[in-house]
Amino acid sequence: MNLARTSNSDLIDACVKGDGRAYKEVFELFSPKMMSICKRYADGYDEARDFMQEGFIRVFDNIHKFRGDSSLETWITRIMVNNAITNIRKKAKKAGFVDVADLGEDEGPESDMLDEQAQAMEIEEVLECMQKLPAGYRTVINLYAVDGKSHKEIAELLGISESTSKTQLLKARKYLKQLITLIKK
Amino acid sequence: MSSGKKHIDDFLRDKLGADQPTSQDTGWNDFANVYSKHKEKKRKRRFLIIFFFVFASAAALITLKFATDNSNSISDTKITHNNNDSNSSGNSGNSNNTNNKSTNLNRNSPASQNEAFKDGNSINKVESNESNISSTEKYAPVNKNTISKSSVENKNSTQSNSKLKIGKSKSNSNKVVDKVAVLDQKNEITTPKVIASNKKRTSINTEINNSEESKIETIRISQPQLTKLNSAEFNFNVFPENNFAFDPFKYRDTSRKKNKYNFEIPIWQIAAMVSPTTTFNNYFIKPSNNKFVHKDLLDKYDGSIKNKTTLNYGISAKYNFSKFSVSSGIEYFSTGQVGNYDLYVNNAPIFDIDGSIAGYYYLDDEFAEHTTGSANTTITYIQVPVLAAYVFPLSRRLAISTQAGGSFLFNTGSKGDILTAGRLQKESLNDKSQQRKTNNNLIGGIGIQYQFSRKMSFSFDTRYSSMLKPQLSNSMRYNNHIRTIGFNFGLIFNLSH
Repeated sequence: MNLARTSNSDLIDACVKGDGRAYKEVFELFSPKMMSICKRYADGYDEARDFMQEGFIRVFDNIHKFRGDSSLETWITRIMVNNAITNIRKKAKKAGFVDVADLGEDEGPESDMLDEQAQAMEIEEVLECMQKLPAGYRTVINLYAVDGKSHKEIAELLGISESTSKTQLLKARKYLKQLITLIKK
Repeated sequence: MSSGKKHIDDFLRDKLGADQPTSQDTGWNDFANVYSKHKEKKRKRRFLIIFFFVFASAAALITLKFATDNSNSISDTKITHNNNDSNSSGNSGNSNNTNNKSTNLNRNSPASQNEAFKDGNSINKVESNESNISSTEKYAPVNKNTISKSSVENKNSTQSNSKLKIGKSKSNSNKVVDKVAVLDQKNEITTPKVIASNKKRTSINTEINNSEESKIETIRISQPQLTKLNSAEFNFNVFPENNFAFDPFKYRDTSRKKNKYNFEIPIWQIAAMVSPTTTFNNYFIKPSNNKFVHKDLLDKYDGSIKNKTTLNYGISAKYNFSKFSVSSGIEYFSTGQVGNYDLYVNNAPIFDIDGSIAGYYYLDDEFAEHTTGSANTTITYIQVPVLAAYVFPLSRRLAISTQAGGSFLFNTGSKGDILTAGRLQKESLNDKSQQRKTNNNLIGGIGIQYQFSRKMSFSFDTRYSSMLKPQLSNSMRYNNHIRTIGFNFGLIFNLSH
């Protein structure tokens, strides 16, 4: 759902003026998409819902700053991802990035390929696998594979080094493949 | 890449990048509750900040006010003791009237005539507060032979009149030392009462604020009937008003989009400022008072005093219409002068029957009256400014602001010594009858504002103010016009956008 900027401008103006109905409209318009984004980063549904609610609070608190440089959806998405990452970083500070000890030997490029059977998985199943990943792995693979961020950007976002980002990505792929294989069996 | 196989990254992008949950339950009701609590928390925090800010500022102002009062009282007491000592020992050589009188009479010079007039003038001053005393009693005879007698009589008259005066007002006279001491004690007794009443008032305010806040806590969001709207036909008027309560500081579109630099102008702002302010005293004499004022007065002031710099501070609230705004607040405002008196009054005035100066005797320094001591004075006010301002944004964070308006000034105290109009002697400024109790300032200024965060800005501006009326009262026979230039350093807190 990617509404044109002009069609959203009245909605944004109403939000800036504090119109509760406009808030509701924005929320209902974008919350499904935002929930799916939050689910990718969260440990489970409850955490995803918290991420989303916190993200929308930030959206409404800062909507007067929206200048229309991008679409409203892009802007909200950016806030949601940043909010999720902030929360993950807070958690990581407490618990640290979990490293899965033994994932076996690296089997080369073929090890990252999924067969047709795995590709037939439902979205909910994929999300379930994602949520089973340690937070660090999940965040890095989300940012890299789904959101298209580079390792440099990921390193800046998460406050880690580029090499850590690369290592986490490799391990995340491997771990995720094992989880998917396990579910499909 | 093997056929039918897909890289895990591509697989995730395809599956999750296009993911759209099918659930119709968006969780708006839950979110509305969460958001309402968030706004409530934010509002409470804002109220607490404002309350703390106002309370701290008021406490600082009150503390300073009473600190000033106490220092005045201590200073007066010291003067009193000195006078007592000098009176009891009968020493001459200071500015005390009694001592001057004895010195000058012994000299038996033309100056002694003036001293006789001085006593007459003293009576005149005291009697000026007593309207039922006939004018024939006001002045000592001009005849030299009667000077000593009339001096004694005048002295007694002064004492008795002072007794009457003390009973009626706080104004006192240095001539009757014991009575001054009594007055000082009286002042010291009354001060704690004022403090107690202020404390009481503060606690009442606290209770009111708390009760308001607990009322606010009881507000609950009414859940509107959810209706699926077609975004293309979206109509804001479909729902009844106020079906979703948010912040009392309602968001409102301001000029933020109206200036090309996107300089943010919130609706409400509060500010705290400190301002080193330099006072320029301009003493002058009205033409109608020329005959009552010593011809050397202005020259003696010019040679004795300099501009004084004081530290003023205050708080204010500003309402921005757009780039135009109005503001008001409360400020501690003080003026004064610095310097030292080292005056030889060589031209001794001869007073006429109506108190005007008929002429002067020239005296050598040996016989001239010598006045020494500090010329420092401080006059304190509570100022309530009402200002209109306009900002010219220069960038997203920087703007020039201009302001103009006026203020109400309430005189809260003074200390120091000024010169009497006729004899150019030191006279304490602690008598409020010497000054206006209220005044007005005309204010203009220009400055800059720098927004270093969404919540706070720093401001620096130069403010010129000019009192509309003279600061001294008409009873002083001469007057002064006070102008100030202040450099305001302020912190501005944005309350709403």
